[in-house]
Amino acid sequence: MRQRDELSVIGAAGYRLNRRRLLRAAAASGMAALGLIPSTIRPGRFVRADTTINVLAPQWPQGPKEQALAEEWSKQSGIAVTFDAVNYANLEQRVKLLVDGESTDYDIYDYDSQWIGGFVQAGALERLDTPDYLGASGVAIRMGDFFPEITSRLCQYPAAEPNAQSSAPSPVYGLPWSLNCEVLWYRTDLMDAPPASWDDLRIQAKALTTSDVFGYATEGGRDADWIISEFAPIAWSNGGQLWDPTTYTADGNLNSGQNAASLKFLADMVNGDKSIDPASANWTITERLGALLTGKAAMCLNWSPLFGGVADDTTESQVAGRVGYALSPKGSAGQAALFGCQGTGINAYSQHKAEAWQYLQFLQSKETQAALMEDAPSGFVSARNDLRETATLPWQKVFLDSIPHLRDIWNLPEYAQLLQILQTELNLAYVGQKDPQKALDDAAQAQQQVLDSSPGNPKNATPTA
Amino acid sequence: MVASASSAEMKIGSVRRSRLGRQLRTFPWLAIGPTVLLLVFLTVFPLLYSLYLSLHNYQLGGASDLVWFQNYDTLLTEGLFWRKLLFTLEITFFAVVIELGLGLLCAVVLSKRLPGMGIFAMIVYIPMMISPLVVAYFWRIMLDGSFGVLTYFADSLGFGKPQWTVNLTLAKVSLIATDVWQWTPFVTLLMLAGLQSVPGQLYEAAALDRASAWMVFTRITLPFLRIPILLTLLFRTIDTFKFFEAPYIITQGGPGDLTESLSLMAYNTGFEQSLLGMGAAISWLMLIVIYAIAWFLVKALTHQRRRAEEAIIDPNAPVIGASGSVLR
Repeated sequence: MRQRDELSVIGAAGYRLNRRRLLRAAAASGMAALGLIPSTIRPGRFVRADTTINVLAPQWPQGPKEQALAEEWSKQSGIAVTFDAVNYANLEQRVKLLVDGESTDYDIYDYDSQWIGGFVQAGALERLDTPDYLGASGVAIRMGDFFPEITSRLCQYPAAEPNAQSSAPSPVYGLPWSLNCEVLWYRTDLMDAPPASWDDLRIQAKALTTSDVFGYATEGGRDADWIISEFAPIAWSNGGQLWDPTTYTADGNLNSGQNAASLKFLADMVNGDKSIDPASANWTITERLGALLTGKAAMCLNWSPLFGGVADDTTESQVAGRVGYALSPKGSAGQAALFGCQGTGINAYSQHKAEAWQYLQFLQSKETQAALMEDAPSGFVSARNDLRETATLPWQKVFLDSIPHLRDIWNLPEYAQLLQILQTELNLAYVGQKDPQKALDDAAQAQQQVLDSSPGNPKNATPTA
Repeated sequence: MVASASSAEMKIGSVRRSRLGRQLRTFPWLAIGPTVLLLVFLTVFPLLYSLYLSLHNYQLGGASDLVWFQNYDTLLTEGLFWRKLLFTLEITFFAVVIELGLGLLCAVVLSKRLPGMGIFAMIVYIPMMISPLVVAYFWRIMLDGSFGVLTYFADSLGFGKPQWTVNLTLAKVSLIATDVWQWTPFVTLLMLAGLQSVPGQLYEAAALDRASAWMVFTRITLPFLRIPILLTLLFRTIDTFKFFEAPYIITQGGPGDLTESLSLMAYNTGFEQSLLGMGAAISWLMLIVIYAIAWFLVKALTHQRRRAEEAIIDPNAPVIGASGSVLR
């Protein structure tokens, strides 16, 4: 009795002590002494406090805001977050080299949707649909929180069809990070309404072309993914395909009549209508946007919301206040908007996976995502379903309206070989050096060789005993 | 006692001498050892490792099986490698020939002691001091078929808007022009050194003989420039053959892949497509080609050097001009 009285005296502040609480306090103190803090996602478990996790990301406009939010979070979590933002052009190689060396320098890799196949093959990304992550009890986020059209292509590999009911859904390797697609940017002072179809666009472009202004601007360069960004939306909207993913077939798909007609359409606008600047055959995204912002072009496709309000920034644009955003034009088979999203995943070799997962949950939380969306310079729109209605900026809204029409190019490990083959042939047709059908035939033949030797080709699958 | 003392001294002396001799023999190796090790690590190891890679179908993040010479076989039997090789040789040939001619002209002008030559020399040498990447970037901007300054001038002169980087012929001209612009100063330096080695009394003698400028140039100046010319051919051929920045930045290898040099092909294959094994094989084939070209040029250079040394050894030997006339 006396012992209990003494314990009650100790708890005079109103906190009634007992053995269980004492043991818990002792355990917590012990964990703290070891530098561990209670995990917010796995009750009863601990993660290291005063840890620094490193993120490797492209130099995207949302970087500064994300960094500021992470700094606030660090004060509460005790987990510091450092960002290494690199040139997008070098990011894929860098990650692959790091993974090849089993590097632990970074804990989180941000990646483009095309790279996920190669990263999964290299073992770069931690699988997230497991009891340690998305499958944990009390986890703060679920895949169902996000648009399935985004997650199926960006977070899962092999890519799954959105909303597909499958008994064996594709594994999850990442979460959404930055969402973009190509939409039509157009001069509101030069046209009453944006063209609804590609045929309308061609007519309007021709009508708007003068000695100083071209009706349409493109990025026709053969490097990276420039010219395919122009060709693919036209081809898809006219019923064309780049390949058949179930049979790994390019021949017969890439060089279909619809695709040849789409490529001819583009080439004719340059060489026939002359409503596209011929210099665009060597242009990248910089020159394409520059042509619109300097008033040298009336329309172009461009990424939204990545470039945010640059069109209305008077320090960057000579057409501020005169640019509108519309869905990518329709073709004979409907609409198609080129997918341009990036994901974020945990480095499979990270030594701070639990802490990285804590950060990713913070990043994907409704509050964090809303804060990013409200920051106009971030050029950001959230993949969360419950934030859809909060989009206020026009370049955010047009992306959300484009979601049902999103289409992506290949994301298998051999995507770079397929891309370079097609880029070369598209560019040759674009400048009039090759007939469009011949260009696509040559591309399909070369791509078929790559696909035939791909380990992912069903024909090359090792038969199970 | 005296004999044993002197033999002991001799013994001590010989021991000291052999120790000193050993130290004298090993000290140079110790002095250059770290540098040699560094060079081996930075050059020999990467060379050997790239050879190793070229014998594998090594993909970043993917397979890495030993395939022996399959990569080389694929490159040599497909037409793509030969097409890129021919293109690279074409650009190299024209760029080097033009640089040689222009460099010699600039050197002749600079060798005249005229007012303002110092400033002229400084302006001439500026391009080679700039990073090739920077040069490529600002040439890309100048050559843009829409907003480039060269396009503007051409349009103003009534030539329309030439598509310098889109039209195949103009794209080749653009690449050659970029290389010539940047490296002619280097050739100028080599030629100037050669010109300054020509004995002045030969010119005086030629003036007394009332030799024409052309005769002076071909019979006196040019023979002394044989070595600088060969050096120029050697350095510029090797350097231009591996040109990368200009096609990468200015034309992106386009139109299509028609201006893709071998270096750019190696880069695209190895790093863009992550096929490091194949990229390494392309690099090794390039090395073989460069080595073959350099071998001939070094042989010619060695021959010329030997002739020059023979002339120095026997200063009284008559100096025969290129036409066979005795100059001295």
